[in-house]
Amino acid sequence: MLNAKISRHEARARVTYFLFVLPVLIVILAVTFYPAAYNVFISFRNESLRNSSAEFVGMRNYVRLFQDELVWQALGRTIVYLVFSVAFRVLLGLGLALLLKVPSRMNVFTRTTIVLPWIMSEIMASSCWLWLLNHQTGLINAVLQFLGLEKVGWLVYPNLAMGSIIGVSVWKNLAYTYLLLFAALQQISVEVYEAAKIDGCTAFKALIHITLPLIRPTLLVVCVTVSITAFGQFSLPYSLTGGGPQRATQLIGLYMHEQAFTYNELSYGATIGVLIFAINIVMTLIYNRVLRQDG
Amino acid sequence: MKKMLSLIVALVLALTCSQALAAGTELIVATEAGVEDKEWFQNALAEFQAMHPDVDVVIEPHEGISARSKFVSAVYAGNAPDVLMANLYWVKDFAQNGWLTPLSDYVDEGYFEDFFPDFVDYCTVDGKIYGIHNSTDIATIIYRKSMLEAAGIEPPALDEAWTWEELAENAQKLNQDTDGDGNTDVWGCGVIGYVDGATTYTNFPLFFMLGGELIDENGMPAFNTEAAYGACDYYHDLIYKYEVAPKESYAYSNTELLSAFNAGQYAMIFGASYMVSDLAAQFPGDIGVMLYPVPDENTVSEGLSGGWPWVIMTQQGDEVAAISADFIKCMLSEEAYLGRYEDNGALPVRTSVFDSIIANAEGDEADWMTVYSAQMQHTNLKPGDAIYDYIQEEYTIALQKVMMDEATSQEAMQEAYDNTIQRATDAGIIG
Repeated sequence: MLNAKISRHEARARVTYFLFVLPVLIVILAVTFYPAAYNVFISFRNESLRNSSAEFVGMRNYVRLFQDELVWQALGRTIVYLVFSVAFRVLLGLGLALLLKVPSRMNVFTRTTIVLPWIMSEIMASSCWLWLLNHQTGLINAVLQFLGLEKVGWLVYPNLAMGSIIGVSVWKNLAYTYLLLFAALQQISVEVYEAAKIDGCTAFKALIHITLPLIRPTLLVVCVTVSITAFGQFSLPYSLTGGGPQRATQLIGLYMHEQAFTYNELSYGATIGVLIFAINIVMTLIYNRVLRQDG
Repeated sequence: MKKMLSLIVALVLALTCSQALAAGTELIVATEAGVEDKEWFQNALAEFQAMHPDVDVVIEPHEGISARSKFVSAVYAGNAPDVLMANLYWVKDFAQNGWLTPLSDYVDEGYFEDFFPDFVDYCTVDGKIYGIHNSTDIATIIYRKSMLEAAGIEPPALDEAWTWEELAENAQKLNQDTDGDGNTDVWGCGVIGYVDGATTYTNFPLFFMLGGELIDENGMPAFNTEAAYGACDYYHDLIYKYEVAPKESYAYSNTELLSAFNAGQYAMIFGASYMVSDLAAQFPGDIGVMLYPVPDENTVSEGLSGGWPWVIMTQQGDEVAAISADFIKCMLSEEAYLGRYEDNGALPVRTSVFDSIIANAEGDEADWMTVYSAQMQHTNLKPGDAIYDYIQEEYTIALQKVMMDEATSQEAMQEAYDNTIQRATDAGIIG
């Protein structure tokens, strides 16, 4: 009898919780699940802004996707961008977090300097960098020339253009990795280090055997979230190089945008979107597995 | 009696409908953002309101070239604007899809005689004229007068053009190594290769002067010809043979070229009329323009133009279409064109307005307008076919390769042609 009453009470509570969650659920369904599902739906059609006679075309867009060299080239460049961008952001973020853990008067200034680019909009930041990196009239080349050095084609030479985009991305987003890793470092008790020091542990050994294992879950979260955002990078190459020169900085997100909105191939753009979505899901699954093993 | 009754009912209905239209018509006008605040627009609007005091004009600014998809969606949703200031590339496509109403159905036969013929032809689809440009611009060679004078170079007469070779040789005389370090600090002639519309805007006049054709009568790409090789090779020669443009020009955009020109790093550039007034503000009395150079003395100089035509997009029937046409006529009046020109230097498409500006202008301005007027007699407008987007991108990438000295123009254009065919086929644009 008592159990039945508790169950009824629990059931009522569950309904109440559900009702509270319902508005958010509706919003999430409307703005995330519905567009994602619709995206998959139109990837099997030939929707184009050029005509109204869209129809079901089966796997045609997927066959085209696998035969489209530009997709795979863009994917390759995206992986290069992702690897370097993530590596620099995590390593530099960790380095800064370790450095700024040591109390200093300069810490407030340094932290502010790191966080400032992060709060700027990406388009605004890239507009500033566009002027700084301008080959003929940019400030950086003017300084180089003042020092008697040659001008550098930061956004002009195909290989360097990708490097410049990675550099701007690291500068822009370093604060995210720094803040998360700094917070993780703060969780490690000072006593652990003191005990290790008494046992004769050097600073480097403490980093390898104490710090890194203890911040590993945060490090993994950072790696995965940074990878996912890096994979979807669009605005920096769009505004800095437009994907050029010679498509050297055309990442997969930019290629998808071009197909959908320059060439009005909505369905093909959606198909590339499905590919990006699938890759992101794989990355998330790997992350979950690693985290579970870690736990 | 029955007949009489039906007649009365029909008459009452007709009167009621026309009254309702006249009294409560809302005219939705989509313009490029920022236009609605201009004095010329307000004056033209006032003229229209005087003609149609009962029509409420609702202005809906749009974001420019990227707004295309918005209007296509609006057509499908049944809420397209009545009047649209369209990008020129949309006109043919929209008209062929049946989304536009011909302007020529609502104006007198002789109305279009005062407009430059190339612009009227551009907006003509199957014998119907669908719109006329709000304003235009034209590709031109811009130069610093003082630099030419210092180098002892006499620019060509306003109605004459240098040959390609003359331009290159004169540009060589304009190269300067100001600090004596062996590197060129001021370049004779600036060109760009960045993959966007600005590059083809300045290179295509060369292509057209060599008899080039972008799309043939069957809608297939036709650019892989001697004309494209010649236009690309000329840019290559400016960089490597005459050494009058930087080797990195392939990656420069218009913005980069202009900032360098403003910094005094170029004596001449392949530019456009819309750049001139800003540059003249930077270098008062020192900016000149000349006709596009010609491949040989027997060729007429040709330009390239852009702009935003007014078109009727209404889905509300004949009466609103007629009102829309009246609105467009007010926007295309001589006063409106003059106002636009005075506001931002945008070129009129009416020959009478051009003549009136030249007659009243003085000094540099009169010279610029004389050059533009001559160039407007032989200008080209980029095609509005769906395949054009692919042609433009692939052509520019090929031009970049040539400018980078990575491929011959034949190799690069062949690849561009093959890619265009492949991509357009994949996209279902060509069979």
